[in-house]
Amino acid sequence: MNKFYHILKTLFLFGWSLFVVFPFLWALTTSFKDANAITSGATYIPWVDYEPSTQGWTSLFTTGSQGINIVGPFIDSAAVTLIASLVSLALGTLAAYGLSRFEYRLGFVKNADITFFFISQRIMPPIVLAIPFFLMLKELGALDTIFGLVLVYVALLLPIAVWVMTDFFAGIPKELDEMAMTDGCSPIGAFFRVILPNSVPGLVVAGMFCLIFGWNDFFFAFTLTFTETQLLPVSIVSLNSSVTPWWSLSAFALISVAPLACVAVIVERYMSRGTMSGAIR
Amino acid sequence: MLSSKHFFLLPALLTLVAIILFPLLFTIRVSFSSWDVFQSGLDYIGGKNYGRVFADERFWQSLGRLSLLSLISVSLQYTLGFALALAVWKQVRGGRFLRVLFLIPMMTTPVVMSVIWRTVFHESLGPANDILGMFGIGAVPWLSSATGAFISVLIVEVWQWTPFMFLLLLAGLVSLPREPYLAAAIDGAGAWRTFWQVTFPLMAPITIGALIIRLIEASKIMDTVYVLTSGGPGTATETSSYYIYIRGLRDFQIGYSAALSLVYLVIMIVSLTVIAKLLLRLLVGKVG
Amino acid sequence: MLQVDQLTTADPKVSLQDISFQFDAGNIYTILGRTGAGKTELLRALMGLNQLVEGDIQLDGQSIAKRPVKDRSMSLVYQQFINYPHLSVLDNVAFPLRRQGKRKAEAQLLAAKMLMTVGLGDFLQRRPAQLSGGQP
Repeated sequence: MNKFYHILKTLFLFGWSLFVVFPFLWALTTSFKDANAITSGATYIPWVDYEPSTQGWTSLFTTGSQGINIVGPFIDSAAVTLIASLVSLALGTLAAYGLSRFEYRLGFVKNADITFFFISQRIMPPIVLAIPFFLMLKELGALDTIFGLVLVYVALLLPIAVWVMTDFFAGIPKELDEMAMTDGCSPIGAFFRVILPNSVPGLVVAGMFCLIFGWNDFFFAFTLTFTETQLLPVSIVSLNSSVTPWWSLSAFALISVAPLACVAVIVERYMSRGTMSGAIR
Repeated sequence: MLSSKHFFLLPALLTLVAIILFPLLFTIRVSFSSWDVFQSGLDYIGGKNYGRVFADERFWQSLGRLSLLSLISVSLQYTLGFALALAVWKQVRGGRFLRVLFLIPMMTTPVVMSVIWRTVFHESLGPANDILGMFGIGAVPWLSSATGAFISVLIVEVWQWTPFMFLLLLAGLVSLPREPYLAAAIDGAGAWRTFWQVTFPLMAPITIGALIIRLIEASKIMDTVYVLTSGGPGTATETSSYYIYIRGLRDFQIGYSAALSLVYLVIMIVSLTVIAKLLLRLLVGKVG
Repeated sequence: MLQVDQLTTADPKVSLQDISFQFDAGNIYTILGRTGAGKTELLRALMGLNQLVEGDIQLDGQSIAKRPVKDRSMSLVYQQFINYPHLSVLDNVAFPLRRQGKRKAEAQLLAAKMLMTVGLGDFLQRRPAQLSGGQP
């Protein structure tokens, strides 16, 4: 029975691993094909099944009619994602700390309601906001700019930052803040001198989630930018709808998902780490 | 004290109110206007748009399709994610490597991977049919038949988001207390009984959280559909978001799509709240 | 001299009502009471960690009831030992000295002297988590 279970488990893990890596391997092998190799049906192993070519990769760094430039979209994507993540993380961390330590009251609205207001923004389908965002950015002259997208992405990422950080601060004993204050810190000083330095694990997790959701957004970039600013997901989709060869498409896809695939390593490391075990003993 | 506590909350709160609340109020106003290609401006036509929404069969069908798609894909993601988390929870050879590997799909951009999946599902040149062919299974019309397209979207969703379930559930498993397991072992409970009587009840809160988060995200699905099938063939994979997108930003019926999107939002909030309440009663009730 | 007049707090769990007493300088006082009587609440109110609804607290004739925690020149030793996990043992002790406006070198020197007096001289650069339960 036990042995049977073990074999089943191994098979399951193996099968799932195969399913996970399959599209990546397929994209990798496709990126080295040429027109002949593609049109002769699905083939997998270079040199054996087909003669590899590097034109899929070189075309990404050539400008002009022959090439597809990936550098511009890559920089735009990185800029928008990084700036929006940093802003959201800064604002979200402050708000989350405030909500976890002070009492706010505005009529019948209390802390729990404010926290809920923040987090509930995740329910909002992008399509509900798309049209007003479009008109709002047009009014601001921020359509098709990095600034405009950052503004929208902050709204998208702030709830995530608040959510992760409220959870995290709930796990930091209040006594730590209080001791900092009896030791001579102002409330703001206690936050910056004591709480923030002890919040690195929470900040990393929140930051990761901001980066993931920012980098991977397609819809807002798609509706709010046109030619001046172009993010990776939008450019690959516009390639997809034209008659772009599969080899360039595959190489493009691999480059645009590579940065965050590396993030998986960091997330795994922080996933199960106890964070505040040293504060009270 | 007064000023410092506002120093923390206000910047974020005001930012969010400015970026979200005004657009939302504006949408509400627009939904009472006849704004479209021919007439751009805020006139007032009362509840006409809403009347149209309730008679719009295509919208209600897209909503039904969306519910089916979210429920099936989230259940699959949960089951597979839980199974994977359990499988690598205790020491496994190469466990660390597997965990990283299993997380990767959720880090990738849905539309970018959809572009790849489209080539995978290509009926004559893609590997999906090629591999099935090796087992003697004939060509499947992945993207050109209604069922095939629906299943394709399902496969891509499961591939992309099972890792998210895996992440939350594994984090939950890792932080479970030891004592209940000792008690179960002393009682001589087998693996199967230990799972249903100890692990599953202890995981109930995380289960509820994970299911709700995924249902929320799944209810917004449109990127994958847009790239993979463009809602087709016909309207076979058209989800609500995608339909509203067509009405609003392609046909430019701004007023009508505003009404559609608000109805959609309200339905989402109500049904997700109901589901959350049901899950709470079902899972936590069992524990207590 | 510490003087408390009609102190009343609004702590949701235990609220103190109309507490008045006077502690003279140079003495050690003990507050006795059963669990939940409000001993901790009283200390927290004196520190400024709980808000007063009514009453006044005077230290050497000056009212401190309205001052923020850090300006009350009072200190509190918790039942559980609490420390700053991100700082070394030395910097943990130097932390309040730094907040009083002492320069870094001066604060560290003073802290090191104090730690040596209590026999922790060998552990200055360790993190609190690396000390065993008996050592702090």
